[in-house]
Amino acid sequence: MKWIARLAAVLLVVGLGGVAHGQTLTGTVAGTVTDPQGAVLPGVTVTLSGPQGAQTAVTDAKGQYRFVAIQPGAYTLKTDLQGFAAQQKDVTVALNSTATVDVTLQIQGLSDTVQVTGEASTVDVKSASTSTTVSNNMLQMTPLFDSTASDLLNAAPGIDDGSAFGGQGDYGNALLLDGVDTRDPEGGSAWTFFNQDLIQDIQIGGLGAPAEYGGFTGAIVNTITKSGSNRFSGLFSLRDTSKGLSSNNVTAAELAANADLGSSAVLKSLKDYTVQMGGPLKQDRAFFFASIQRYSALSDPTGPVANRSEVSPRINTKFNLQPTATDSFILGMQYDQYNVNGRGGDWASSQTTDQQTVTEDAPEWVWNAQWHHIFGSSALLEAKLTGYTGYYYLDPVDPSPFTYDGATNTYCCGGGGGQYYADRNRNQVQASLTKYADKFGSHTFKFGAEIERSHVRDRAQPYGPAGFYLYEYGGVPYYRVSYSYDVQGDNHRTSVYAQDEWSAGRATINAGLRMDHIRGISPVLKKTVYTPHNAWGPRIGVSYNLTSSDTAALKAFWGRYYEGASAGFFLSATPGIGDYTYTPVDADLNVNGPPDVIIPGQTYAIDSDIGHPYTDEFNVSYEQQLARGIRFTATGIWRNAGGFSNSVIRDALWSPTTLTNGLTGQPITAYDWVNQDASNNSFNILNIDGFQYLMPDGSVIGTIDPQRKYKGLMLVLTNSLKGRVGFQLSYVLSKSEGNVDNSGYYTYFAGGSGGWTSPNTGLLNAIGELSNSRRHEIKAYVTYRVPVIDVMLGANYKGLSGYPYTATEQFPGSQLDVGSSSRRTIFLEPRGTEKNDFTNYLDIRVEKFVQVQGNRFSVYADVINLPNASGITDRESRYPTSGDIAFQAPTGVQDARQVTFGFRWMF
Amino acid sequence: MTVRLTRWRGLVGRTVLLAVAVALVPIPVAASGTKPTAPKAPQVSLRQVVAREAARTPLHTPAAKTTQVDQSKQSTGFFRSPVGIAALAVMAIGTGYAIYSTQHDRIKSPGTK
Repeated sequence: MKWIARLAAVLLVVGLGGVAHGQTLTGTVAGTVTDPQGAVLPGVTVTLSGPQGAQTAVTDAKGQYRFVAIQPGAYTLKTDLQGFAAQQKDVTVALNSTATVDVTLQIQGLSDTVQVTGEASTVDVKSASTSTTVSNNMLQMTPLFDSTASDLLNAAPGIDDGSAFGGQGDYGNALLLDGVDTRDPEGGSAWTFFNQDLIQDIQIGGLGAPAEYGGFTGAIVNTITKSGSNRFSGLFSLRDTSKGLSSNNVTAAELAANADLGSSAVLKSLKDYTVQMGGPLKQDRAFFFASIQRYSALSDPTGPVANRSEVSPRINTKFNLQPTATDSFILGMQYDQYNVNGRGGDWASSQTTDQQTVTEDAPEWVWNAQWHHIFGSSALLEAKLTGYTGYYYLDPVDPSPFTYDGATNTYCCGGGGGQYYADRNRNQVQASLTKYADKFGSHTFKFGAEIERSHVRDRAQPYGPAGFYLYEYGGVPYYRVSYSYDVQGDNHRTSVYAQDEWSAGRATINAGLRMDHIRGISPVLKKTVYTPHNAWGPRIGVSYNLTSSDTAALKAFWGRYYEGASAGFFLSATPGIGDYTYTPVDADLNVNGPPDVIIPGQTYAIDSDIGHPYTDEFNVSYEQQLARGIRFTATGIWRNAGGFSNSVIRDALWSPTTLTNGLTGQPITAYDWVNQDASNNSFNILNIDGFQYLMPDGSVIGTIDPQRKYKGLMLVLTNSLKGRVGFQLSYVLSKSEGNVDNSGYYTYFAGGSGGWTSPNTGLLNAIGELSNSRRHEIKAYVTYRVPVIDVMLGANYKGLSGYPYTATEQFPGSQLDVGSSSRRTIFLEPRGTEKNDFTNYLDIRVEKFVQVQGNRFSVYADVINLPNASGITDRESRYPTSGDIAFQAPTGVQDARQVTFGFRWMF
Repeated sequence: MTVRLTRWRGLVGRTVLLAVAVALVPIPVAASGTKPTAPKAPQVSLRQVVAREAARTPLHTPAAKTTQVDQSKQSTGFFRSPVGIAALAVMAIGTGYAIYSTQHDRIKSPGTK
C-alpha cells in the first residue's frame, strides 16, 4: 500500500501547487507469448527498442508482458527464449492506446537467427475509442501547412473549420499541446500558436473518449512535440515565396456579382525558417531538444487592405530525463511572440483599408513538467504541471471614430475602432494512477484528479469622448455610439475520474465516470458567481476482438462529455461592463440631447439552478487491419447536445407586429419589445431550455427548445505513409441540425444582444441545418516515392459540401422596436435553407531529396490550389443587400494558387 | 530479412536461467502434434515453478536499458564532427536571429506601459 501513500502525497503536493489538467501522453505495448501449440510461455525476455533506448520485460505466468508509459513513435519488439527462434516485430506506439503484440515462438533451427515477422497490428482491440492521427510523416510529406498549427485538426475526417462531429466550431475542442491545455479560458478557442515542425504526432480523438478526457464537446486534439533521443538529430528548414508566385482566381462572373471581392489575397513574402536539434545529454538517461523558428509573412489580403504582416519568433526547449529505472521526467517550455500589423478592426473586412486596421502585440510563455513513476510491475503514476500566460493587445492605427450607416451597412471615415486588451493565464495540475490487475480477466484501472485555475481579463474602450463610431441611417447622422468594459473572471475547476478497461476473453469493457466541479469567480467581487451543478459524465464502451491476430475489432460506446470551464459562460455576470449609449447628434454632428442608454452596463444575474452544457454520444465502429499495414475504420456517430445556457431578458414582454418577408412577399409575425425601460435591467443567464417569451397579457408566444444534433457515417482507409505509397482516405456523410448554432460566439456564450434575447431570433425559423454542417466530406492524403530518382510526390485533396446559410433581413427600428439591430435581424426562411457550392481543393508537393551519409537534403515545391479553382465558399445572406452586395452574391472564394519553395536538411 | 544474433550480454542471470527452464516445457508440447485452441494454463510442476519465478520478475524493467545495444547511439564527439560543427553553426545563427527578432520586430502596445 506504499504506492497509495505516495500517490496521496503527490496529490497533496500538486494540489497545493494550485492547478491541474492533462491526459496521458504515452502509449502501452502489451501482449502474450505462446509456443507453436498455443501454450503460454512464462519467462520469455521481451525487449522493446526505441529512440530513447531499450527496455526489457519478462513474461509472467500467463505468458503476458507489458510496457507502459512509452513515448509515441516507432519501436522494435524482440522476444528471446532459449530453444526458440528469437522474433522481432515493428511496433508503432500511438498516443493513449495499447498496441497488442502477441507473439508465437517457433522452435529454434540450426542457426541463431532473428525472425522478422513484420509489423504489429495497429488496431487497438481493447479501447472503445476511435481516433485518427495527423502523423509526422503526413506533415512532412504532404503540402499540409498551417501557420497557426492549431488548425491542423481540420486535416482529420469529420472536422472542418474546427467543428468536430457537429461540435462548436471555435470553442468545442480540447486543444492539448504536450498536455498543456492551450485554449483561451474565456471561450475555448485556440490561444497558443506553435511551430508545425515541432509536431511529432497529433492524435485527434473524442469519439468514445475515456473518462480521463473532459472539457470538450467536439474533439480532443492531443499534440505531442518531438523529443531528443540517443541519436543526435537535427532539422533545418526554410520556406520561401514571393509575390510573383501568387495567382488570382476571382472570375469575371464573381467580380460582376460582387465587386468587393476585388482580387485574390496575395502572399507577397514568406520567410519561415526553423532550426532544431535533439540528442542525448547522457546516453539512455537524459535527452534535449531545442527548436527555434522565425515565421515572417507579408500579404495583401482580399479587400482594400494592402498590407498585413506577421512576424513570429518561437523558441522551444524540451528535456526528457530518466534518472532511475522507474522515474522519468519531461520538462518543456515555449516562448513566442505574435506581432501583427494590418489586422482587421471593427469594420467589415470588405470595406477595411490599411487605415482601419489594428496592430497586435501578443507574446506568451507556455510550460510543462511531467513525472512518470512505475511502481513495481503493476502501477504507473503520472503527474503534470502545465500552463501558459500571455496577452494580446489590439491598438488601432487611426484612433479617430468611424461612421457606420445602418441603412446600407457601410462604413466610412475614421479608424478601425478602439483599444482591445485581453490578458490570459492558465495553470493546471493533474495526477493519475494506473493500476494493472488480473482478477476476473485483466484490468487497467485508472483514476486521477485535475485542478485548473485560469484567469481572464478583457478591456475595451474608445480613444476619446467621441465614442467608437457615428451611427447614420441613410446618410443622416443620428448617434455617437460609445461603450467600454473591463471585466475579469477566474475559472476554478476540480475534476476526478475513474475508469477501467476490463478484458475477459475477447471482449473488453471500458467503463468510466468523470466529475467536473466548475466554479466561475469574479476577482473584483471576490466571490463565486457561476455555480453549475457538478457535471457527471458516465462513459461505457465495449470492444470485441474479432480475430486471434488482433486485426479486427467491433466497438460500441455511449458517454456524456461536458464543455470545458470557460469564462464566457459567466463573464457578463461580473462587474465592469459600461453602458452602451447612443448620444444624439444633429446634421452638423453637434450633440442635441442627453445620452440614451441602449443597453445598461448591468451585471447579469445568473440562475443558481444551472447546469453546464454537455453532449451525449453514441457510436458504433468497426476497425480492420488489412494487408500490408492498411487499416479500415467505419464509424457511425450520433450526438445530441443539451444543457445550453445563455442570456435572456427575464421580464421582457413582447407584442406582435406584422412585417413583410421580403423574400417571399408573405406576412411574417415578429415581436416588439414593449417594456424596454421596465425590463432593461433583467438580463439573466440560465439554462434556456423551457424559457417562455411572454406577451403583455401573460400569454405565451413560445418556449425555447434548444437543440443541436449530429449524425454521421465516417469511413477511413489509411496506412502508415512509411512505404513507397502512403495514403489516408476518408469519406464522411453527416448532418448537423438544431437551433443552437455551431458557429458564432453568442450562440453559445452569454452576453450577446441577439440569440435568445428575443423571440424574433430565438423562435422564428430557428430550427434547421446548422452553419457547420457538411453533408459530404472527402479527404485524401497520398504520397508516392518515385523509384530511382528519389522524388517524393504528395497530394492533398478535399471535397466539401458547401456551408448552409439562411436568408436574413434586418428590419429598421421604425418597423421593429427591439432595442438592438441584432434583434431586428430575422431569418426569412428555416435555418440552413440555402447551401454554398460543393468545393474541391487540390494541393501538391514535389520533393527531391539526396542522401549524403547520414544527412538528407531536400528541396520541394508546394502548390496550393493546383487548378487555381475559384469555388465560392460564402455568399451574402442578408436580404435584399448588405451595402452594395446583393443577397446570395459571392462573398468568399477559395484561396488562389500559391507556390512555395522549401529546403530541408535533416540528420 | 534475418539478423545474426550475436549478443547475449548483460541479461539478468536469473532470466536466462528461467528461459532455459521454460524452454524445456514447450518443446515436448510442440512435439505432441496437438494444437490447443486457446492459451493453456501451466500443466506441469516445472512450469509452475517457472511461473512463480517469472511472476517475481517485474513486468517492466527499464533498469535493463543500459544492457541493450542501441545502434542508434552516437559518440559524444558528435559536436566535433563536421556535421556537428555545421549543425551548431546553423543553430547559432538561427537562434541569434530569432532572439534579435524578439526585440527588433516586437510590436509593443501602449497598453503594456
